Amino acid sequence: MNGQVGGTRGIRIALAVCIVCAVVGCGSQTVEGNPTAATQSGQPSFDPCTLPDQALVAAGVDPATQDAGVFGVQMQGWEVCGWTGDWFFLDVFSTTRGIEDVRGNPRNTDFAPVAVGSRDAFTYREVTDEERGTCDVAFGTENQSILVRVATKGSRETLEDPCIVAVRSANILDPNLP
Amino acid sequence: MTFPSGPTIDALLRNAEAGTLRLDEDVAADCQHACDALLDELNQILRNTGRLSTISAYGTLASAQQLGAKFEAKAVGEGGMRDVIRQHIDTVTQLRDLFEKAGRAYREADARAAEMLVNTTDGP
Repeated sequence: MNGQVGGTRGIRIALAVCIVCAVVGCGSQTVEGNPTAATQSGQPSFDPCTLPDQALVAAGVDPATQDAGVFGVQMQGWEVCGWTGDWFFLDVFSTTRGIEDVRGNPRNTDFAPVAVGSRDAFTYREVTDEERGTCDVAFGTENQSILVRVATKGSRETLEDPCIVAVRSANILDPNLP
Repeated sequence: MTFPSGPTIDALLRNAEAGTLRLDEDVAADCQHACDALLDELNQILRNTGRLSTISAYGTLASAQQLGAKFEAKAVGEGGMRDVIRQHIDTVTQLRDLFEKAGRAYREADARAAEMLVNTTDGP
């Protein structure tokens, strides 16, 4: 039975190889480079949940409060992970979307250039956020975009401009971001 | 959240501030903790609503973008879910404040009574 399963798998792999070869027109040479899990499943290669605890503490959030996905559900093409601070939430998104999609999204407004480490980044808010309780810092990397979001808690006094906190947090996390 | 009848939270708050509405300290503390727990839940819903509306706005298909727009109206549009959750947060925050003040009023009344008692026994 095992042999049968293996045989089926062998045929599948052979088929897959044939299809790949037909598409990319490869010869008999092996393809160099390391595959990344991210692009295989259509997910961004960076998972923000891998951010180290000490960086999170430095950013003013509690690593134990980690909360991933959207109501716990992973979204296609996106990874979201967040933590809770005293009066704000810190959410980090990675997406296969290019940074031009973030800048070109009509839902976003109030773009302002900022530096995150040595990167060119920008802050913005969403049009619907009239209270300006949330601020995102965004930048593009080779194959994905990163959003660092600070969202105030409605039940707590806002102690600082969310954009200032978001830029500071992004800079603290910078060495650990792709 | 509105109350169809009875005193408003504002009126109760005024009573607590004036010291006429008092709540046993332990009860007040329990109520405050219950409010905190509820606020955590509500804030969490608000945060995840934001995540969902952000991501849905980047749908690749035109239909997904239309769905994103529809969802956005329901979620973060005027009178949408975000507004409702915010109203809940405001109300529970007020309630928390009320319990804190009513607990303090109790403590102060208790301290005054104790002081009066001491003065009485210390008297001639």
